[in-house]
Amino acid sequence: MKKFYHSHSSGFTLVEVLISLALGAFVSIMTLMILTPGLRHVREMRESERLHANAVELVETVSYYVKQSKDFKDPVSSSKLEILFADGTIATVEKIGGNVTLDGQNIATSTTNLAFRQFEKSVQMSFTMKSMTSEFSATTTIARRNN
Amino acid sequence: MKKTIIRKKGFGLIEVLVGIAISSTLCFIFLDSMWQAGRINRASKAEWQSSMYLRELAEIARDLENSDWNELSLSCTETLPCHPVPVVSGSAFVWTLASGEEILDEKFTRSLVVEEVCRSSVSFPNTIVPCPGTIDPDTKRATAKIRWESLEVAREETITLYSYKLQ
Repeated sequence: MKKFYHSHSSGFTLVEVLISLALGAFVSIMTLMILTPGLRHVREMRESERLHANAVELVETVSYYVKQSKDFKDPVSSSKLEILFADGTIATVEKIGGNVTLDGQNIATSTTNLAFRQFEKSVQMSFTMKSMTSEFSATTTIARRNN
Repeated sequence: MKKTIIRKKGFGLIEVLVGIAISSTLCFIFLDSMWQAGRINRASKAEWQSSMYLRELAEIARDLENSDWNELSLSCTETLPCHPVPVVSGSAFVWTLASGEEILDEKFTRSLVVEEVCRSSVSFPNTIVPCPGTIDPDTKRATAKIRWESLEVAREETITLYSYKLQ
């Protein structure tokens, strides 16, 4: 005949439950503390990449038009740039809401600031792009071709 | 009579310690990769910013080539380079060059060097050759340079362009 001796009755004691709850809470808090900044970082990187792509598109598009332009329309400092071409046509770059437009067509989004400063043969463009988690400002100059 | 004692199941100290060690290692790897990704992100942002500033300096040299060729002064040397300064002239802005390097965003050091250009002969056709040679007074070599630190490594980028005096 086999005789079984159970050391305790089945179930958890209050102390065991309290310890496991405390451990569970600690592990959860630690996991959140580790994961939250990491995930925020990933989101920031993705947003930053999107803003950069936006900025490249903006600079390249404005460069394309400025390079072949004949002159700029006054005023010399403005949030709007009117580019004059040899055939008399005008292209307008301006900020409407959060977008930068070229003759009404969107060329960049998430833009909070856009400013132009005209020089004799070039134009300086400053802009700020901002998303929920990322922000950056850039300034560049684009010279006209020899025309 | 056979006695069997059923012991209460649970984790031993070694098992718990091994578990903690494994989870700590995984957390460390995760945090480290996030930290590295952040650094690379900041470095790529700085690289993009530097290319904007460098390109701007080359474009300013192009502006001066067309607007005030003499401003592309040969006093902007390797040892004492120049940096661009916008000034108001009448109702418009013009670019001028001032001595010394400039610091941008407390991070980038930007400068412009202007040098003489030598050619293989006075008459055309000829080629650009290293100086000394026949100096071409109507051509200058402008080198835009930017330096910054990225991922604890000193970085430097340059753009060289030739400026021609328009008749």
